[in-house]
Amino acid sequence: MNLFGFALGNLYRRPARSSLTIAAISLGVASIVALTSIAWGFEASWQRANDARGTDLIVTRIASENAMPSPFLADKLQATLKGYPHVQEVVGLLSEMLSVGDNAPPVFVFGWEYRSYLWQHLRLIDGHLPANDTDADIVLGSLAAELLHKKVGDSVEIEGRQFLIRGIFDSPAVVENGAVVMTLTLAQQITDKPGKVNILNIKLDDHASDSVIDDFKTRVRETLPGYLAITSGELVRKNAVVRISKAMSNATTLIASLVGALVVFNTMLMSINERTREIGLLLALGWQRQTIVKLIVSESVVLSLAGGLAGILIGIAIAGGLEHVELMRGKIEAVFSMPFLIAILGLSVVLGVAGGLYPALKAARMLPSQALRQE
Amino acid sequence: MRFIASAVLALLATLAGQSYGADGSDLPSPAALAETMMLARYSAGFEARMRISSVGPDGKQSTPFKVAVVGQIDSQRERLAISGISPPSIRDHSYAAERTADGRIRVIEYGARLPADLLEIEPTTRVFDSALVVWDMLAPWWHWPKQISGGVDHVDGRDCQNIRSVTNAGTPPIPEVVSCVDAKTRLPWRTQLFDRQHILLRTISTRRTMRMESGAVAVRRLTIADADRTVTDVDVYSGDEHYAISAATFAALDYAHPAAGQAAP
Repeated sequence: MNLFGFALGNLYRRPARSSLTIAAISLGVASIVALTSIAWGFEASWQRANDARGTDLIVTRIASENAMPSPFLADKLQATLKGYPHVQEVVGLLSEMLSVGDNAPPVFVFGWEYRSYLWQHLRLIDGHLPANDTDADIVLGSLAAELLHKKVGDSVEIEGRQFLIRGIFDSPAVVENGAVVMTLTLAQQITDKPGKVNILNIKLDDHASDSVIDDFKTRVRETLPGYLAITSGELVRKNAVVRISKAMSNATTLIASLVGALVVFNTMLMSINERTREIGLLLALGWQRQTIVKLIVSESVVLSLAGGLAGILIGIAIAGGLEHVELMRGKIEAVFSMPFLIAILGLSVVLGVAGGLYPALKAARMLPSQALRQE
Repeated sequence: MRFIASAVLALLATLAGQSYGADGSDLPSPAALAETMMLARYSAGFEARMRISSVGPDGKQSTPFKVAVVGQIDSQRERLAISGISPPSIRDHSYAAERTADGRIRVIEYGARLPADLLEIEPTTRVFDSALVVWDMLAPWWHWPKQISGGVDHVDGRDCQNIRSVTNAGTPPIPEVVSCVDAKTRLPWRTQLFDRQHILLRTISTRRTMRMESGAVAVRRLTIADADRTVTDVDVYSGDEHYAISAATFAALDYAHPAAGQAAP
């Protein structure tokens, strides 16, 4: 039997303790995986929404760090921005979280300028896009339609007004699939924000290079006080919800890592205390102290690695389950990456080594004569 | 332009402004704090949309409704317009309120056909029969000359400074208000309103806050607990810190001043 087999055998000898340790580690790892994947998914979804729309730059208010920036009057700013080099379109967007109907959870309601490029990425599953700027027609994302149990031709109540569902669409972004989209004019009417938008989407022509984008940003910063031009990625990273969810995921990683290391430490310490005579015997038989360290650390690494693997699977299942909870559907999306999952396994190994090192050294320092006297 | 910290402040001076660094050893005087609370409400125009739901003493929940509150508050005028959004039964009903030069609160109730269905009503009228009272929303007690310190208190684990505002001038519907104010954020964590016999009429508590674009902290959710044990939740779900006040916004207040309870000409 080699050292690894010997270590596995030691763990099998105490199945209850080994299972509980693995369960504790796996719960910690699962919370890391689930929270991190949701935080990344939230960022990725907003990013995809902006990328799918074909927006190169976004102009918004400087202090805006809310889920959607605060509304501002768009007219003059829009005219100014249209005069910038390489600008093809400047399109206003207004967004609110509103309840649709009496008992439904709030959903994103987007107002997009009628016939602007923002509409082009939507793939209609059924019906049509709004026929004009002012009719009370809306389109629903596929997830929103499913959540609200609505189809084309039905009507919904938003902010006290009835709207006819004219179409149902699919979008590459889950945020949009869970949303209601109407023309900007209508959105401004129902929210009593005439002429206001949250952000201005800038579409540049095909000749716009990175330096054009940088020049655009500088120009806005220097000539339009109170406003900021940023890429969609920068807007998403500034988003308070993204920042909070990332901070939560980092905090969870830290806490779960500490707890995981302590759990392994405690288990291995108890294990060597119970096996004092056995370790003493091994030393008396001529085992080197280095081999004892390797044995104990191997046991702790096996425990944490098993916990890590189980935790990844549980985390993926939790995140996948949360995506399908009615309240969350269309609002969250879990994103997993192979490097992240490998890093989690690496973290598990580190936890195993960190948690097992002191017990291993303690075991290796034992004197065989004293260890064999232990009852 | 001053911050709207008052945006939601419409509801009780509940808004905040900038911190002035008060700590336990350096508490401002009650009069100074009252003035700060008053100034924190200043706004050239704001809108706050609210979802309101009540649970009666018997545990029965009334139909929730939504209103939009538009306000304009400065040293010259304090005006609010409250419009029903949904359900349809309140859609065309509105209230407009102002603080007059003599400190009185004037409230007008009106419908879609101004000035035909305009009526001046009591300032203590409840908005759409909820626990939300128009008089409370204008927080007139911060103007009262008598502001007495009630010492430091804790509300839901948060430190705040009690201020007792009292008036004997005229016949105010509420002569005494005790507010527990967070001096840093200028949020009233708890506001208690008493009648002339010092009987508690209702308690308004801040439950959740939000940081606005201006950096100020505003109330996101509050609870109004009535003496009859009816509990009303007010949830601010949308707003605009820079609402453009139009001539029509407070038009109802500009019509003739009919006597209370009589229809306007």
